[in-house]
Amino acid sequence: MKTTVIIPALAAALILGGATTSVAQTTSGAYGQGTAAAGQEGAVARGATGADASERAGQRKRDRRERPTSTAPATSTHGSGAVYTDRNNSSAAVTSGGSATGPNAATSTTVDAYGETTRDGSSADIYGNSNATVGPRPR
Amino acid sequence: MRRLTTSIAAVLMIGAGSAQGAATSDLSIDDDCEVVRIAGDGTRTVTPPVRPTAKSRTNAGPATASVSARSSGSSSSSSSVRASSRSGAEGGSAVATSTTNDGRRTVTTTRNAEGCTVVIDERPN
Repeated sequence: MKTTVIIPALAAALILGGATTSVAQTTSGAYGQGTAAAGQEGAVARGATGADASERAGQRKRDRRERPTSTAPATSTHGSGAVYTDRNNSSAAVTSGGSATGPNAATSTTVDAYGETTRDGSSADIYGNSNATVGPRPR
Repeated sequence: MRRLTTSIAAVLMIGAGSAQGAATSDLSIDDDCEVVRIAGDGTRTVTPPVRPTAKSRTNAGPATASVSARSSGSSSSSSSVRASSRSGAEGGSAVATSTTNDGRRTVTTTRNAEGCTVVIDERPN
Protein backbone atom coordinates (compact mmCIF):
# COMPACT_ATOMS: atom_id res chain seq x y z
CA MET A 1 0.00 0.00 0.00
CA LYS A 2 1.21 3.47 -0.74
CA THR A 3 -0.06 6.58 0.94
CA THR A 4 0.96 10.02 -0.13
CA VAL A 5 0.05 13.48 1.05
CA ILE A 6 1.17 16.76 -0.40
CA ILE A 7 0.49 20.27 0.82
CA PRO A 8 1.40 23.16 -1.40
CA ALA A 9 0.54 26.50 0.13
CA LEU A 10 1.39 30.03 -0.82
CA ALA A 11 0.56 33.27 0.91
CA ALA A 12 1.00 35.83 -1.82
CA ALA A 13 3.06 38.94 -1.37
CA LEU A 14 1.26 42.08 -0.36
CA ILE A 15 2.55 45.36 -1.65
CA LEU A 16 1.07 48.63 -0.55
CA GLY A 17 2.18 51.83 -2.17
CA GLY A 18 -0.10 54.24 -0.40
CA ALA A 19 2.31 55.59 2.15
CA THR A 20 2.43 59.04 0.67
CA THR A 21 2.68 61.09 3.82
CA SER A 22 5.30 61.12 6.48
CA VAL A 23 2.83 60.04 9.16
CA ALA A 24 1.34 57.09 7.29
CA GLN A 25 2.16 53.62 8.50
CA THR A 26 1.95 50.53 6.37
CA THR A 27 1.98 47.11 7.93
CA SER A 28 1.76 43.77 6.25
CA GLY A 29 2.25 40.25 7.44
CA ALA A 30 2.04 36.71 6.19
CA TYR A 31 1.96 33.37 7.87
CA GLY A 32 1.86 29.80 6.66
CA GLN A 33 1.65 26.45 8.35
CA GLY A 34 1.43 22.91 7.10
CA THR A 35 1.59 19.41 8.51
CA ALA A 36 1.58 16.01 6.88
CA ALA A 37 1.67 12.49 8.25
CA ALA A 38 1.45 9.11 6.59
CA GLY A 39 1.28 5.67 8.14
CA GLN A 40 0.21 2.17 7.35
CA GLU A 41 -3.44 2.96 7.96
CA GLY A 42 -3.68 6.18 5.99
CA ALA A 43 -2.50 9.72 5.69
CA VAL A 44 -3.48 13.07 7.09
CA ALA A 45 -2.51 16.57 6.07
CA ARG A 46 -3.35 20.01 7.33
CA GLY A 47 -2.37 23.42 6.11
CA ALA A 48 -3.20 27.02 6.75
CA THR A 49 -1.99 30.31 5.42
CA GLY A 50 -2.88 33.86 6.16
CA ALA A 51 -1.88 37.36 5.28
CA ASP A 52 -2.99 40.79 6.24
CA ALA A 53 -2.17 44.34 5.43
CA SER A 54 -3.32 47.65 6.76
CA GLU A 55 -2.54 51.28 6.46
CA ARG A 56 -3.41 53.83 9.09
CA ALA A 57 -2.85 57.50 9.32
CA GLY A 58 -0.81 58.95 12.10
CA GLN A 59 -2.47 60.59 15.05
CA ARG A 60 -3.40 64.23 14.76
CA LYS A 61 -0.85 66.54 16.17
CA ARG A 62 -1.95 68.01 19.47
CA ASP A 63 0.64 70.69 19.38
CA ARG A 64 1.94 72.43 16.33
CA ARG A 65 5.40 72.24 17.80
CA GLU A 66 5.15 68.46 17.96
CA ARG A 67 7.15 66.76 15.26
CA PRO A 68 5.27 64.43 12.93
CA THR A 69 5.34 60.83 14.07
CA SER A 70 7.07 58.28 11.93
CA THR A 71 7.60 54.55 12.31
CA ALA A 72 11.02 53.13 11.73
CA PRO A 73 10.96 50.43 9.08
CA ALA A 74 11.21 46.95 10.50
CA THR A 75 11.12 43.46 9.05
CA SER A 76 11.17 40.01 10.56
CA THR A 77 10.79 36.46 9.33
CA HIS A 78 10.74 33.05 10.95
CA GLY A 79 10.41 29.44 9.99
CA SER A 80 10.53 26.06 11.67
CA GLY A 81 10.03 22.47 10.65
CA ALA A 82 10.42 18.90 11.78
CA VAL A 83 10.38 15.54 10.07
CA TYR A 84 10.21 12.00 11.45
CA THR A 85 10.34 8.68 9.75
CA ASP A 86 10.68 5.05 10.70
CA ARG A 87 10.03 1.98 8.61
CA ASN A 88 6.26 2.26 8.92
CA ASN A 89 5.48 5.90 9.52
CA SER A 90 6.42 9.37 8.43
CA SER A 91 5.41 12.81 9.63
CA ALA A 92 6.35 16.34 8.70
CA ALA A 93 5.41 19.78 9.93
CA VAL A 94 6.51 23.25 8.93
CA THR A 95 5.70 26.85 9.77
CA SER A 96 6.87 30.02 8.13
CA GLY A 97 5.93 33.66 8.50
CA GLY A 98 7.09 37.22 8.27
CA SER A 99 6.13 40.81 8.90
CA ALA A 100 7.17 44.18 7.57
CA THR A 101 6.38 47.67 8.82
CA GLY A 102 7.15 50.80 6.85
CA PRO A 103 6.64 52.33 3.43
CA ASN A 104 6.08 49.87 0.59
CA ALA A 105 6.10 46.95 2.96
CA ALA A 106 5.85 43.51 1.38
CA THR A 107 5.92 39.97 2.71
CA SER A 108 5.66 36.53 1.16
CA THR A 109 5.50 33.08 2.69
CA THR A 110 5.59 29.57 1.22
CA VAL A 111 5.22 26.25 3.02
CA ASP A 112 5.22 22.69 1.74
CA ALA A 113 4.95 19.42 3.65
CA TYR A 114 5.06 15.94 2.20
CA GLY A 115 4.93 12.44 3.65
CA GLU A 116 4.92 9.03 2.04
CA THR A 117 4.88 5.44 3.26
CA THR A 118 5.45 2.45 1.03
CA ARG A 119 6.25 -1.21 1.65
CA ASP A 120 9.93 -0.31 1.33
CA GLY A 121 9.94 2.43 3.94
CA SER A 122 8.81 5.98 4.46
CA SER A 123 9.89 9.51 3.65
CA ALA A 124 9.00 13.03 4.71
CA ASP A 125 9.95 16.46 3.39
CA ILE A 126 9.21 19.99 4.51
CA TYR A 127 10.04 23.40 3.12
CA GLY A 128 9.22 26.86 4.40
CA ASN A 129 10.34 30.22 3.10
CA SER A 130 9.54 33.78 4.11
CA ASN A 131 10.66 37.17 2.85
CA ALA A 132 9.89 40.63 4.18
CA THR A 133 11.02 43.93 2.69
CA VAL A 134 10.41 47.62 3.20
CA GLY A 135 10.91 49.96 0.29
CA PRO A 136 12.53 53.37 0.26
CA ARG A 137 10.71 56.20 1.95
CA PRO A 138 8.52 58.25 -0.37
CA ARG A 139 9.86 61.72 -1.18
CA MET B 1 17.67 16.05 22.10
CA ARG B 2 20.42 18.67 21.85
CA ARG B 3 19.84 22.14 20.54
CA LEU B 4 22.48 24.16 18.75
CA THR B 5 21.95 27.86 18.29
CA THR B 6 23.86 30.44 16.37
CA SER B 7 23.09 34.14 16.33
CA ILE B 8 24.36 36.81 14.02
CA ALA B 9 23.95 40.55 14.30
CA ALA B 10 25.02 42.76 11.48
CA VAL B 11 24.92 46.36 10.39
CA LEU B 12 25.23 46.94 6.69
CA MET B 13 26.01 50.23 5.02
CA ILE B 14 24.90 50.25 1.43
CA GLY B 15 25.26 53.47 -0.46
CA ALA B 16 23.48 56.22 1.41
CA GLY B 17 21.25 53.79 3.29
CA SER B 18 21.84 51.41 6.14
CA ALA B 19 20.32 48.21 7.37
CA GLN B 20 20.53 46.47 10.70
CA GLY B 21 19.77 42.82 11.02
CA ALA B 22 19.95 39.83 13.27
CA ALA B 23 19.52 36.16 12.49
CA THR B 24 19.21 33.08 14.61
CA SER B 25 18.99 29.44 13.66
CA ASP B 26 18.33 26.43 15.88
CA LEU B 27 18.94 22.80 15.11
CA SER B 28 17.90 19.86 17.28
CA ILE B 29 19.98 16.69 17.33
CA ASP B 30 19.29 13.31 18.91
CA ASP B 31 21.38 12.62 22.00
CA ASP B 32 22.65 9.26 20.82
CA CYS B 33 24.37 10.66 17.74
CA GLU B 34 28.03 11.41 17.18
CA VAL B 35 28.38 14.98 15.91
CA VAL B 36 30.87 16.09 13.27
CA ARG B 37 30.98 19.86 12.91
CA ILE B 38 32.58 21.54 9.91
CA ALA B 39 33.15 25.22 10.63
CA GLY B 40 33.07 27.95 8.05
CA ASP B 41 36.85 27.76 7.63
CA GLY B 42 36.72 23.99 7.07
CA THR B 43 37.83 22.96 10.58
CA ARG B 44 36.31 19.62 11.65
CA THR B 45 35.32 18.90 15.26
CA VAL B 46 34.02 15.51 16.40
CA THR B 47 31.83 15.23 19.53
CA PRO B 48 30.83 11.80 20.91
CA PRO B 49 27.18 11.02 21.70
CA VAL B 50 25.72 12.50 24.89
CA ARG B 51 23.87 9.28 25.63
CA PRO B 52 25.23 6.50 23.45
CA THR B 53 23.00 3.54 22.79
CA ALA B 54 24.04 -0.02 22.04
CA LYS B 55 24.53 -0.66 18.37
CA SER B 56 21.89 -2.97 16.99
CA ARG B 57 21.84 -4.85 13.75
CA THR B 58 18.10 -5.42 13.89
CA ASN B 59 16.67 -2.05 14.91
CA ALA B 60 18.08 1.05 13.27
CA GLY B 61 15.59 3.36 14.95
CA PRO B 62 13.79 6.34 13.49
CA ALA B 63 15.36 9.25 11.65
CA THR B 64 14.41 12.69 12.87
CA ALA B 65 15.36 16.27 12.17
CA SER B 66 14.05 19.63 13.26
CA VAL B 67 15.17 23.10 12.36
CA SER B 68 14.16 26.70 12.90
CA ALA B 69 15.38 30.05 11.63
CA ARG B 70 14.60 33.65 12.50
CA SER B 71 15.82 36.91 11.09
CA SER B 72 15.03 40.57 11.56
CA GLY B 73 16.19 43.81 10.05
CA SER B 74 15.22 47.32 9.16
CA SER B 75 14.88 46.97 5.40
CA SER B 76 14.71 43.27 4.55
CA SER B 77 14.62 39.86 6.16
CA SER B 78 14.48 36.35 4.80
CA SER B 79 14.53 32.89 6.30
CA SER B 80 13.89 29.40 5.04
CA VAL B 81 13.89 25.90 6.44
CA ARG B 82 14.11 22.59 4.63
CA ALA B 83 14.18 19.08 6.04
CA SER B 84 13.96 15.61 4.55
CA SER B 85 13.86 12.20 6.15
CA ARG B 86 14.03 8.68 4.73
CA SER B 87 13.71 5.35 6.54
CA GLY B 88 13.82 1.77 5.36
CA ALA B 89 14.91 -1.67 6.40
CA GLU B 90 18.59 -0.71 6.44
CA GLY B 91 18.21 2.44 8.45
CA GLY B 92 17.38 6.07 7.84
CA SER B 93 18.77 9.49 7.13
CA ALA B 94 17.55 13.01 7.75
CA VAL B 95 18.79 16.30 6.32
CA ALA B 96 17.88 19.70 7.74
CA THR B 97 18.92 23.09 6.39
CA SER B 98 18.26 26.55 7.80
CA THR B 99 19.01 29.69 5.82
CA THR B 100 18.78 33.33 6.86
CA ASN B 101 20.05 36.62 5.48
CA ASP B 102 23.43 35.91 6.97
CA GLY B 103 24.21 32.33 6.18
CA ARG B 104 23.23 28.73 5.74
CA ARG B 105 23.70 25.67 7.91
CA THR B 106 23.03 22.10 6.85
CA VAL B 107 22.74 19.13 9.18
CA THR B 108 22.76 15.54 7.91
CA THR B 109 21.81 12.72 10.25
CA THR B 110 22.47 9.11 9.28
CA ARG B 111 21.18 6.27 11.42
CA ASN B 112 21.81 2.64 10.61
CA ALA B 113 22.98 -0.58 12.25
CA GLU B 114 26.37 1.01 12.97
CA GLY B 115 24.92 3.86 14.98
CA CYS B 116 24.02 7.51 14.46
CA THR B 117 26.18 10.25 12.97
CA VAL B 118 25.35 13.91 12.53
CA VAL B 119 27.34 16.17 10.23
CA ILE B 120 26.88 19.93 10.66
CA ASP B 121 28.19 21.89 7.72
CA GLU B 122 28.52 25.63 8.23
CA ARG B 123 30.69 26.33 5.24
CA PRO B 124 29.47 29.05 2.91
CA ASN B 125 28.51 27.84 -0.51
